Amino acid sequence: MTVSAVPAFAGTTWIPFAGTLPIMQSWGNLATDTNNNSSLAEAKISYVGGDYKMNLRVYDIDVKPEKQVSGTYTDADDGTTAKFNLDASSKGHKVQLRGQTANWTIVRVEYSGSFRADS
Amino acid sequence: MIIETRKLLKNNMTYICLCMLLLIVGLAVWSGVGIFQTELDVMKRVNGEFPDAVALVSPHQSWVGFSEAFFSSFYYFIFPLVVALPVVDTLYRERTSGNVNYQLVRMKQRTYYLQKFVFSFLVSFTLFLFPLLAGMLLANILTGTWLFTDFTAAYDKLVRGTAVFGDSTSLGHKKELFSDLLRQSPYLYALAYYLIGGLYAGAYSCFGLAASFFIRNRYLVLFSPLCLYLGCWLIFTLLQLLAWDPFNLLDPRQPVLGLKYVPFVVDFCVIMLLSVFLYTWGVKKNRDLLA
Repeated sequence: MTVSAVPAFAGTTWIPFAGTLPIMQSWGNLATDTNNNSSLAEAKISYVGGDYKMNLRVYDIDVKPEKQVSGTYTDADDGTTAKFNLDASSKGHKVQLRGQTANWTIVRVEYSGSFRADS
Repeated sequence: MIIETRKLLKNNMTYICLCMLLLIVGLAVWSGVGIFQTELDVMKRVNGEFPDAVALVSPHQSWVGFSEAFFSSFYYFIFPLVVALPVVDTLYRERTSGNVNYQLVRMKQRTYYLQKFVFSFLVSFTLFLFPLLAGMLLANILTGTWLFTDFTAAYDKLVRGTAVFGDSTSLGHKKELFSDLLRQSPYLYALAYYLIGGLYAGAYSCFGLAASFFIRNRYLVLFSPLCLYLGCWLIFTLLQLLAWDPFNLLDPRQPVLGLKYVPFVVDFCVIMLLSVFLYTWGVKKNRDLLA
């Protein structure tokens, strides 16, 4: 019973993430989840260091080359909840939330939050 | 001014710098258009049934300063050096070559130094602005878009809160500063940022020109505008005063929190006042040149 319940709820559980964003606006991997249905993916940003903002996107990492499957949420900061419509082609695939600082910076900006591929 | 213009046009550095800026702009636009097209393709696939969301992904986002392309940010990183190179060491060269003695026989000291100051400001202003306008033209040719009525209509709805989106990714397009200009046209918004950037470019060059009275090494003179710009970047970053740093202020994407109009004016005035003060001091220091 537990085994059958897992696929039904995978993707809807919040996956916490925290770390530092790469310098000079490179993209960093924040969290990975499985996109099981066509509902919205969500990212709650609890904290972005200082007065920095961050940009967010979702990539399908089960295809080669990895493919952007959502629009870009720009300028997320503390308390932002970003909702992403994901490309239908990513259904059943592992998707990864990626982030970058919104400006060029030499500082590694801290962030924390949580992500789920299905709401 | 005519003599200064002739000197500028005979200086190889002018053309090298212009080509360098145009190359950076070309690369920025090329990558920016690629990023825009990817974003538009994705947006059409995931939010195709929401026209406002699609319209907010607009080709003007591939203009220099508007995209996340490396060279777009690199232009804003390096401009104080490149726009100043043709003019910032003119006083230094004329003083070391002795030409300044000849010039001061021909005209009043005040006229000579004032001309140098104003000319440096205007040249750097133009050198900053021209490649950006060329980039705008190139991006529009590559994307085949000249009018942005769909974008302005969707942006107006976004500001009024009447736009309908499939997800929240379109909300990040809303700007805190110069939003009314963006509602009218991205051209006006870009022009406001580019003109302000040009004023800062002129101010940094004037600072370099003033510093040349006090620095004996030509290379330090050439790098002094960039040193001031990046020095501020470092200090404001360490002090966490991001909204006061010209590097963030001049970025049309408005990439940090707490941006206001006041720092635009205050920072510019401080740099200009510092330059005028150093320049006047330098001129006074060299007043007895012909005595």
